[in-house]
Amino acid sequence: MGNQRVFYACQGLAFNGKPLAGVQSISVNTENNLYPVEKFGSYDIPEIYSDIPRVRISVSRIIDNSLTYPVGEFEDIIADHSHKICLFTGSDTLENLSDSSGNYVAVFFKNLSIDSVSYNFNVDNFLTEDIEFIGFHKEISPSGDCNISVMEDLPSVEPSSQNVLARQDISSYDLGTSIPSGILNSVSISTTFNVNTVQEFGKARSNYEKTYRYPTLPIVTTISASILYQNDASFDDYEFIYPSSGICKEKNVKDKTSVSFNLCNDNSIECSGCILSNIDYAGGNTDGSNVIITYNYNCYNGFKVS
Amino acid sequence: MDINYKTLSRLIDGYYNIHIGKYKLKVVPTSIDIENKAEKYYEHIIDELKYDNNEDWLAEDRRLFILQYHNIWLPEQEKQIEQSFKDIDKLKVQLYYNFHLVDTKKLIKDKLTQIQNEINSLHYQKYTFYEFTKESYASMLKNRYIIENTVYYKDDLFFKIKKRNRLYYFNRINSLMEDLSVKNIRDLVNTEEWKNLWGAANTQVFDKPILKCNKEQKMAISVSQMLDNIRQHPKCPDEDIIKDSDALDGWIIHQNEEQKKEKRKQDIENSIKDKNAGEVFIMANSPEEIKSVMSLNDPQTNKDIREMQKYVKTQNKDIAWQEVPSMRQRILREHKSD
Repeated sequence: MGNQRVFYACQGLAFNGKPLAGVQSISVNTENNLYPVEKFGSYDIPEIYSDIPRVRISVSRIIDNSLTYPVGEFEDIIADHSHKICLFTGSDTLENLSDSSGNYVAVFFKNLSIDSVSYNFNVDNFLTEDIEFIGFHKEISPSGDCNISVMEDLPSVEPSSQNVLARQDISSYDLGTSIPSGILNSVSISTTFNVNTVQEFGKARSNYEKTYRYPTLPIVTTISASILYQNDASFDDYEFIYPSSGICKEKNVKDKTSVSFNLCNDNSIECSGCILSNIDYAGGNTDGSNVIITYNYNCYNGFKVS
Repeated sequence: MDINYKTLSRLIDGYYNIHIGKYKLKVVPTSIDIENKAEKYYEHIIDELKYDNNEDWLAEDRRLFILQYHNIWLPEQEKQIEQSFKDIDKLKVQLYYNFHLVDTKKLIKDKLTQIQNEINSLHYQKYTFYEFTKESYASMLKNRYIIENTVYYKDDLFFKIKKRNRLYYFNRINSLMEDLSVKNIRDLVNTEEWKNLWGAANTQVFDKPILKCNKEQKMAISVSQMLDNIRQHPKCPDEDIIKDSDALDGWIIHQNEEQKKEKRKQDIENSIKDKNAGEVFIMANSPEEIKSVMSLNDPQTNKDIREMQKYVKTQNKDIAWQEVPSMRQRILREHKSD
């Protein structure tokens, strides 16, 4: 929405009819395309044509017991354009929003496509995910599809139980065969689908059938994994010996590999067709900082959440 | 003699005189050293009374129970006093906003006086029977300790000389002693005489280290430094506002609120991924949180949101965002500059 940022107090978010826990922030960027229709012989603008707004929604959340998009190959994710998001906002005089009071406004987005997904796993923080949706339906729904009663399904939070995932909840990971062992420090996975739409005569809004929305191929998933170097023989053997020495495993670098992360909530993120594109070396200074090696992969058409 | 001149002379001398009968006494406002010793003395008294027979004293919780039982001090009055303090802050901000509107300014000033009187009366009620508590007794002894160590007669501590009728003199001195208020000090530091002194000597105005200054002198230094900072502030108010203690408080409260708002906005900016987002939804679980979020918007935006909420209530169907009149107006307004 143009020039000035508007802040709304949000009391709930429902994703596909179910409450989404752990949401940290939601931002919405609405492109309201207005076209003044000017005419010869007149200073006045007789009409302003407003096209259907294009909406981009970014949701950041701490991963709790499940991922937002729980299961699917990338083909499934990019073919599903039927996601719905309801944001419940109320006025500042209310204690709590409730169905009976009717004193809430639900901002409703439907027929949304997932445009990008990213995960950030860090040893110092909770595991987080950021999902970006794009869509063309932004409505205010007084009841219909967005009923605040769905928020009652939000699981109650017990202070003693663990609801959010942190470093201990990455049960296993695999960075491919060619990586030396070390302590995994942080991981970021990001995949962008770049969903495009096909406009057609007779319809103002983009058709959400999969033939009318398509991703830009190849789907590139970037993975960046930082490892705290442990004194491992393969470290020197692998990266810092000149190829001419004859012991460089150059072939391994060029091989496509698979990278996966398994979470203890039974979700896993798998990327196949990955190529190790570069390795950053940092730290190890005289000030005593640790050596951190960051492996950057580009994975092509091989993103899967299961 | 001009009241400000009297105050200035009292500050420069570091004492003031009171007369009791034939005695012309010199009262030296407390320094940090005396205050610390008095505070330790208070704690010592409280400590000594810890195991005293509880029936001899009125315990604080019992005092509050009695006040509640006799409808002297009820939880509602506690809320009322809290609300009054909040109202004072709001009125001071309004005074700052409307400082140049003569009638409104007078109305706000009258209201401020009225609320201040109400607070005084509530405060008096709240401390009913306080004199029967250990804390009150310890405060009284602390006060006497201060008097003993700050009142002089011919360069000697008065109570070292005066051994008889001590209680009479304690009470008389106590009734004649008068601390300078922040308002007195603010009035003084706005005078040309003080400004000249402050401009020439700054924190050395009393020709001694700040640690050795008495509390009134320290107050004058700190108020002067505060005014210097305000005058250097990029949004410095008019000199008339600086001279008005309540309006200046209003300006300070306003600036603090603005700063908090900016800080909150910045925190939110850091947390959102899409830096171009036009709308940000922030989780809020209580009316206070909702108010705090909505306060980040400018008044026009909040008006648009309220109108949108009103409009939606009159409709019984799903409405496209851009069809809501207030939102449509907003979209047009934002595109005007394109």
